[in-house]
Amino acid sequence: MSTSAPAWARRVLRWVVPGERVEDVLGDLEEAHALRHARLGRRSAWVRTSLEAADVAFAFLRYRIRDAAPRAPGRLSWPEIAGAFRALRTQPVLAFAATLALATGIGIATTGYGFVDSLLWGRVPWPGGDRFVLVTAYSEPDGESTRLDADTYRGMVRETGFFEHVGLLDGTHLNLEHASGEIEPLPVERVSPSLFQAIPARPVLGRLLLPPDAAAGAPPVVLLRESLWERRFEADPAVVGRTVRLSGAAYTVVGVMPDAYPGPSAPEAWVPFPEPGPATLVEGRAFAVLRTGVDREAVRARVEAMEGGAPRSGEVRVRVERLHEALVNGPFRLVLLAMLGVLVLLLLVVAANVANLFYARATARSAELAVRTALGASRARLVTQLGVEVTLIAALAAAAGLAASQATMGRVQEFNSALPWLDFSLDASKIGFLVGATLLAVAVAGVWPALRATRRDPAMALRRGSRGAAHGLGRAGAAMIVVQMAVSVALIGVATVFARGFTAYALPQVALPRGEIMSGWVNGAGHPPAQAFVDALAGVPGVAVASATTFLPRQDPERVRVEPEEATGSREDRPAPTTRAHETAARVGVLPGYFDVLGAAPLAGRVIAPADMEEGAAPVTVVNDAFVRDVLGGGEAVGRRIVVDGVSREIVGVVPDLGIGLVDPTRAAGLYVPLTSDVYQLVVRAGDPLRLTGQVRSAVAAVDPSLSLGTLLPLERIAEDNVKFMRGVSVLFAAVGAVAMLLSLVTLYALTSYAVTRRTREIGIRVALGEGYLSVARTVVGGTALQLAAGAALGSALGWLALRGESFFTFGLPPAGPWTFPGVALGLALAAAAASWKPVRRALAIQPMEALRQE
Amino acid sequence: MGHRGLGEFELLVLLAAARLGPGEAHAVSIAREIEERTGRSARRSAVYITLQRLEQKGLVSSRLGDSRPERGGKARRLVAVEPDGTRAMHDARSAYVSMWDGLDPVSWRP
Repeated sequence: MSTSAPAWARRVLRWVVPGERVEDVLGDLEEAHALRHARLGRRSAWVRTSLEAADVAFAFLRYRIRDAAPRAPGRLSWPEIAGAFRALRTQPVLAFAATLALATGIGIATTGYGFVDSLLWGRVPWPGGDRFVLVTAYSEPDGESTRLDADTYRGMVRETGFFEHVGLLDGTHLNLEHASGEIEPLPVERVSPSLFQAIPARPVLGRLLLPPDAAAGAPPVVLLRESLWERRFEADPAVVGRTVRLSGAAYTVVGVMPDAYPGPSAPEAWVPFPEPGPATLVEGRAFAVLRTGVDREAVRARVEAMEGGAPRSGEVRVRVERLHEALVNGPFRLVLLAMLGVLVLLLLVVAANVANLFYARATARSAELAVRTALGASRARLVTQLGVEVTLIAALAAAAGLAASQATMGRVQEFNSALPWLDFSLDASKIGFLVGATLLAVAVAGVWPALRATRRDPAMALRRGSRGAAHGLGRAGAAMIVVQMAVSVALIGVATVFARGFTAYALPQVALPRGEIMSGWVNGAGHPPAQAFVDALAGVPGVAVASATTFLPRQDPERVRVEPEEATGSREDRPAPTTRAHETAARVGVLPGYFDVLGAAPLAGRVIAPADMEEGAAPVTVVNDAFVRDVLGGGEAVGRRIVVDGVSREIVGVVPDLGIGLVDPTRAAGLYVPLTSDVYQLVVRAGDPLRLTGQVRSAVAAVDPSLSLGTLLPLERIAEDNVKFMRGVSVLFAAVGAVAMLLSLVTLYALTSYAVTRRTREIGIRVALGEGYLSVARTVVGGTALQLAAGAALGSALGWLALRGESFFTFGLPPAGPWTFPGVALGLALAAAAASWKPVRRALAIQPMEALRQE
Repeated sequence: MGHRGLGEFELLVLLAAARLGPGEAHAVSIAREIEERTGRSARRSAVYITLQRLEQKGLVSSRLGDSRPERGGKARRLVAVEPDGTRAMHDARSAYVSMWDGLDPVSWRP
């Protein structure tokens, strides 16, 4: 073993030596190495064989580059590559800056693509993952999700011709009650035991969930995640068989699951999903593993045909979606694609910056290029030569960008607990994107300036070159500053609007006392009215206010049809109803006191009062200001009547937007009606609400011991993931805008600086002739300032156009506002002025004699 | 076509392959042959590349021999000079000879 040649050498040679010669070369290497080993000892033999292998590898590499490629005019050749290397070595700062910039651009775009690719089209990392689907139901006219009928679910279980495995799952929270009295809300997945057949796993300890665990009346059991077991149970091997208390009930621990389990979600614990009873609706989502070759469309039709056991209104349709589709639907998909678009735009800005640098350099070399043209070099040859330098840089940048991107993705994979099945590893599609992005960068940053720079009349260039090219970058340079500024302004402006949109979404306009609000679900059918429980809760010491609601902020409420009532007898000055024939809006049922719990006061009129709850009271509603704006078209709302789901209601008050919608800010319009639903949440507001869970439970039990109160959770834990995601997106946009701006400023600095250097002689002469400093400064900066202004105007127009109308950029973003783009442009212009300050000062300090001697 | 003119090292490799014969000529023996006869070092990497190029020009052909345990079970690629190669050697020799012809071998003057 020790007598064989170094492994790295074998690997490299196998890669670089043409196939038919590999065996010969490797054999020679082994033979020579064995001889050396016998003669010189292990270490020397290793060194010498390594040197020899490197020599052979390098020879074949050169051979492959130089000899294997057919030599066509204008094609790459070895001397050109060597020449490009030399040229770059003479300007290490330029080479470094350009590499860094392109690496940033390519790295960011590739990382972005990596995420989008994994989220939209990735592979699911378990056997048969592509056949793992979620089956969900929705109602036909409005597309709202609804729940699957239990009989349909049982039909699916029987349909073994279509499905390998079928089960139910549902994410929830349960409160883990520690012996110390501490309450810890845990994300828990309720799953049918068949999940562990669909996605096989071996427990770290104990056993998995088994079908009898889900049977009616089975004793409650729980499967812990490894990290929870380590964190909370000190990795106690005797945990199996122990009893833990979750949300007031005793569960027996049956096993511990490895952290690496890649199921559809990453909860801290799993509990069995009880088999649903007949003629009910299933509270979770159904998952299934399709048999190989089974068509999803056929499955959908089959499941839809089964639907209809439970009575309900409207037609029910069924979706059969792979995990990616179920997760990344509608708006999310658009956000992701828009994000990718912005990142590619950023790459373009970066490439344009590098193009500026290289163009400046190519014009500086115009005399040399002219000489070469005069000596018979074709334009294609010159372009190739200039382009090769950028290609080298881009290749380096691509390698660095890829490394950085892989490192980022690796970190994310490590911390990605929400979607453990996402696979961020490198694959053909990501490499394809990287290559595409690099080629784009080469085209913009290399070929384009090269084409421009070689488009000169040689005689002219020679004359000008000898005189020291008095006119800076000329018209092309000016055009580039305009374009650059335009792209930066558009990009930063759009990013600002996006960030503002998401920030506005992530933080409702009213700051809610999130940490002080706690709620728990109740199914109150057949129990005393909700108000009885609320009154009991209000009496608990420490509880400031109590109420009940169907949906808290950031939960996705049901949507109902809203029509304006014909404006009979309305006042003259009231605006005519501007609503379309009908709209949908979120509807939330509340008890009096709900807005006190949220800490919100009405903007106009009043909120739901105890009198509204009485039998036979006139139907009223309270709307939010988004409703007034989007549905009513503004104006005075209090006193108007609307028809909500067929019931005419008087608007008695307007409240601020309390974050009623989930994702889509266009669906922020909502209305509150007196609570009539049997299913609701009890909400309390208290200083440290989780400390009160015990008292809250006993207060509820005192009213009706048979009522089961769900897990009590603080508001901040509700819809936490969604808010986190949106916040992440807005931070990302701000970061992209900042990177674009930084790169633009660096290039502007470089360009101004370069222009001053090129015009040193001219400035010197003018100072010698007695021209004032101000006039000189105007000469240097004036043109650039004009170009910046033109670019800013163009960029504002571009950005405004991008955000206008019904493009996918604008799904429900807040309007850009008149000052967004001018503001961005002004900021950039100020920064640009600051960036050009130093070169201008240098220009003003030019001594005439020195300037003239410089030639 | 393009292979009328042989480079000097190419000629040396071709000659070495011809001297060693089809059963014995391979990269290592060719390199050794050149070193022994000319006294100058012939790097194996250069021999590989030259053989590759000569084969591409159709001047030599090669086949894999038997695999050997001292080579980690790998075979040698044995080289044979093709008729085109023989002709190229002829051409090169007659070119050299005709250029040498009439030069005084001491003063290198006619």
